[in-house]
Amino acid sequence: MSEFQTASLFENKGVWKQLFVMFLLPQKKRFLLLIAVAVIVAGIEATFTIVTKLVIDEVVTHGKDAYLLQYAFIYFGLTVSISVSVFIFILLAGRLSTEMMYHLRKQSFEHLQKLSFSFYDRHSVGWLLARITSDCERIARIIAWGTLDLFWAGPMLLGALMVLLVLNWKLALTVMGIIPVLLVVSLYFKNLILESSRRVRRTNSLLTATYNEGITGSQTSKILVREQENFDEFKVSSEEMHGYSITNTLQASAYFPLVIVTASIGTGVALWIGGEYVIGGLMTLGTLIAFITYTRDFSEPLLHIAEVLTNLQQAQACAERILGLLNVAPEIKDSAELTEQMRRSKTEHVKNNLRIKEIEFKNTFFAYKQDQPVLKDFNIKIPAGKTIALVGPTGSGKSTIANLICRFYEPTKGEILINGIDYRKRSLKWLQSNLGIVLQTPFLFSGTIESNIQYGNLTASKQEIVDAAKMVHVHDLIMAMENGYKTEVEEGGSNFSTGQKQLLSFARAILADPQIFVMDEATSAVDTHTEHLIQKGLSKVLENRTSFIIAHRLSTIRSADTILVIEEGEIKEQGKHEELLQLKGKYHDLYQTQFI
Amino acid sequence: MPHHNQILVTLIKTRKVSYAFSILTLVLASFFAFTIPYIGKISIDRIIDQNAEPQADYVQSVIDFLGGKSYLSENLWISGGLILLTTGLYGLFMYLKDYFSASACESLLRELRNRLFHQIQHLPNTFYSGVDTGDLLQRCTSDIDTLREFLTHQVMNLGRIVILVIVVVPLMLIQDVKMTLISLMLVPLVVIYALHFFGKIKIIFRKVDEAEGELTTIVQENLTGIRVVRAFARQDFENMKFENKNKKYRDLNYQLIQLLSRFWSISDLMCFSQVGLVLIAGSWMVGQEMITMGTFFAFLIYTSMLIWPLRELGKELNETGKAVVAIGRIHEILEQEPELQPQKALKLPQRIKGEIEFRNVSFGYDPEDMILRNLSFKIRAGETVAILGPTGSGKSTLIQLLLRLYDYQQGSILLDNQELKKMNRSEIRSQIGTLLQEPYLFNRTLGENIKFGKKDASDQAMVESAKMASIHQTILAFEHGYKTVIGERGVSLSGGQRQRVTLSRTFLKEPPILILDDTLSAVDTKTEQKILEAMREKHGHSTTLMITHRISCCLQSDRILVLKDGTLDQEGTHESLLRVPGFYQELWNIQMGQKEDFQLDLQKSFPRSLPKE
Repeated sequence: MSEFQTASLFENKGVWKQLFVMFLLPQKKRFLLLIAVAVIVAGIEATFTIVTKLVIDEVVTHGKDAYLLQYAFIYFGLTVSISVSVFIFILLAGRLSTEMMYHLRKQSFEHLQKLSFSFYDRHSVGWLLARITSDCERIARIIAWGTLDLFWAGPMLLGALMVLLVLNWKLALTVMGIIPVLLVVSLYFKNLILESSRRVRRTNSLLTATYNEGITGSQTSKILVREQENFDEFKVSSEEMHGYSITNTLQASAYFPLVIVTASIGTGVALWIGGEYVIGGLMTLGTLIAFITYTRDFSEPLLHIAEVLTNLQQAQACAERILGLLNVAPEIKDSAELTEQMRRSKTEHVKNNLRIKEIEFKNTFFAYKQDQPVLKDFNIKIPAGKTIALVGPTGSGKSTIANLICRFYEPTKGEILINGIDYRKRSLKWLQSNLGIVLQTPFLFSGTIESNIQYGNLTASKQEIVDAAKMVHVHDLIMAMENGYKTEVEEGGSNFSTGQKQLLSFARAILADPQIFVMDEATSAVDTHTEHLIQKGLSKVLENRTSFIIAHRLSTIRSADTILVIEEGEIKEQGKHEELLQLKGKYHDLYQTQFI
Repeated sequence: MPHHNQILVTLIKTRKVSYAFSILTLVLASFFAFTIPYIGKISIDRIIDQNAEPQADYVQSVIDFLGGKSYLSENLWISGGLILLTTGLYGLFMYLKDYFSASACESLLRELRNRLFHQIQHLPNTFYSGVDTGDLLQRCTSDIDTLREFLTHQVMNLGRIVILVIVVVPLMLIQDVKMTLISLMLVPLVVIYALHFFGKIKIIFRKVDEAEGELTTIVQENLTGIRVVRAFARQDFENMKFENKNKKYRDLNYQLIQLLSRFWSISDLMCFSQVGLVLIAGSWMVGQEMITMGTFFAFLIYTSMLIWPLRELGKELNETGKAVVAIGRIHEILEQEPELQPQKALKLPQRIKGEIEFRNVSFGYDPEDMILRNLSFKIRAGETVAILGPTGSGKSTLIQLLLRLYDYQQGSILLDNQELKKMNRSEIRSQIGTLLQEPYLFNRTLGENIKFGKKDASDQAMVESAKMASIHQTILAFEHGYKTVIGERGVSLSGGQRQRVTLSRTFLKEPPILILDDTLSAVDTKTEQKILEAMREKHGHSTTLMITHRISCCLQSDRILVLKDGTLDQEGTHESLLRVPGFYQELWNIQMGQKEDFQLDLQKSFPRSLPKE
């Protein structure tokens, strides 16, 4: 974990600079005001001790006749002003941190919406989620409150030092010797603690993962009679957690005594030398007490500075990850010229009405990973309104073709043309708002059944939603539920079977009324009876749409206008059902095995 | 509620000694914390003050012991050194206190974690069917974290403050009653205000938590469903959805900070006023010679020593509410009955024959709504039986009963002519190889997953079973082969691949009974036939139950059972069932309709071959 080492804190200045420009500059006024208020608070706090000194000296010199009322007023005045300043500076820092968090999250989320699937292939959902939730939170908190702490602690320390120097510079310089010691001890321990906290967190997430498997896989563990082994494995991790946690706590416990002992060296020295000055008449008792108080006051701002410096290291790692994310350029996006052109003519909406007449793959190559080509010199012309079925073994490239049509990925070589123009020269949004896709692993959002179907067309009426549901024969099933279309979908759609989810996402795609329709094993988990019903209505759905169907069930495929038999990224056979059967080739073999 | 804490009390009792030591060390630490300013006071009054008269008390004897007033005033480093020493002792005892309490708390938490894991491994399926797994996971993780926070921070801080007050206040009173009263004058106000405030803002704290949860859900769903978002070009809609939640969270959070800033400034006003009160009143009393300068100095320090931590009291006390809720939630899991085992379990042979009989079995997850009604059938050892039926007919349920994941309510199930209920659950399960509808794989390597049910299997056997499940080639195609890690942090597999990995896991067990619960649904027909053939060859002697909705599967079986509404609707071989009108015939007709089309297609395709027939 070298990225977290102290040395790297200021090495990567670029990160801080970018963060500053992107998120603090827009709040410049607030930021400067915060610094100003922090300095004021520090100033007032340093003044308190001067008042203490003055009061004591007054009493020592005037005894019974000491006039204290004015000091009472001054002290109270200071108290009120510090309370007001604290109020303002918490508000300011809070504002700064919540605003910054808001903007960090907004930009990250919106950026994620633009990033291509190749990016999502490389990062797990959990990883990305942690960036938007905990990283953003941590950066904003550390920067806002850290700024506050730094600009309070710095002036506080400086103020105290200045007062001490004025009071008695010799004693002040002696006492100041503890400052570097305190700082070194603090930084050393804070780093140690940071490391061990990280170990605790890592072990904790391991435990969480194990619990998760223990819960979600409980049935599997029972069936395989694995309970005891699982428990034994868990105990090893839980023992580790025990050890790391104790180490972590004890490091923090050792840190605190060390700091106060170091600080008390200052107090001891002040008492010793200052006391001698008092005895020798070189210093007043008030000054001595002020010295002792100040040496105690040193440690607090110093601890804050050490804390901020360690936190910044932590934030550095978060900041690098977030900015790393924000700096990833979307691989698939509208070209600069196109964006410019659309901006000038505002044609995006007009183009929405563009009818697709033809889709063509022209010498198309594609690979997810370099030197592992999935499609090789793929060529086909598809007139609008036709149904294309893709057949072939797993991994042959069927889904890749679908992904390319949707422009989830772009060809690595060659082109895909829509109405004779490379689709990269058209707006991405236009293409994708003309798509309807049903996937093998369907996804539902939390909300109601209705809102999930409506996702396909946000302006659809209730009647249109019902019609779409009827078309895929899911209407009766919905009505059988207590709340009908208002039935709540739980997170991840866990209250529906895969088959039901497939049907609902089918309805959603139909509602979108797309020009291009893609079905990737769309009804694989639907029972035979329902599948049969859907088949009957399918021709109506596919009418006037250019459709791509990937399916194992050949009954779905028979009626396609063109069937492509794909193997190893190449078209092995192509034609209508009957033509392909006549060939007595791969398609014929495949078809035969369906009925043994 | 109190009984919830019982578990905590029991666990604490086992670490009595550690806790006693941590309290003892805390008392000592508080005493030394008191002593530090006291040394300052003595130094000022008795040593630095030129006019100080020797007094006849224990302090004087200490001064005399150290060499008398004049010696000490010439060697003030001794006073300074004493402060250092006392601070050192204070630090040492604080450390020891943490040492004892940390080892006690962490052991307690380890015990609790282990108990929870053990419990979730042994809870019956009836428990799991009714709960939200996310919530369950939270109880095992976040709630434990809350408890840890409570035990290691809140309890310790509360203990520290309370013991500090108990130790220091009497010692202050001994020195000067009036000064003590002045020093503590505003303390009740601060404490009451803090308690009141943190009690009041609980609601907004909860609202902030909820808003954060909603925000997380939105992001998570967006990321998981990113394909759907793109497929409908709904980026703007998603941005808007997120914007709403993001704003809501920001505003609530800021609202909370506004309240907090009010608290901190008002309590600052109170605390600083208290210190100011001591300063002005104390110095006046010094002037009136009612107290010495040293006493004044000491009280100045005592006041800040007490008032600032006491301000935190409200926060800490209110946090304990969270811990009480957490322990209650944890307790709810621990108090569940684990799966019952029979008193005297029947001893099963190493390998049973595999004869299964259901006799008038009735069962419902909800007693009001029976799933199985009077179900009876018998399966001979080594027989392959396909089970068909519409959704909800009870196919999967009967498997769950056979595995004793649920307990049947009426009738009896016999395994090799012995009542299932008299057997040990894990012994039954180790005789049955089951493939569930939803394949579950663990976040480990492929090899470990295949060997999950039989840890000591050889690599040779593992490869054999993978070959049988037609997954060997796929595995070899991965860069790390059998060492490929799968799951969240590794390679993700397709549905069909997952099914085949679980299949090879089951094959490796070589069980006398094999159950396939619609296991090959995501595998293409060609591969399915290959697997079924391999199974016949290798596991021909295993009793095999296949839940399916594919005719092709039924053709591979000796007998077919058709379920309907939890009873046996039809039973027989493929040929016999075809002749009777019913579910099976219907299913056949649908698929035959397709086949007829196929025949027609063939005829159309090969017109010249027709006359030959």
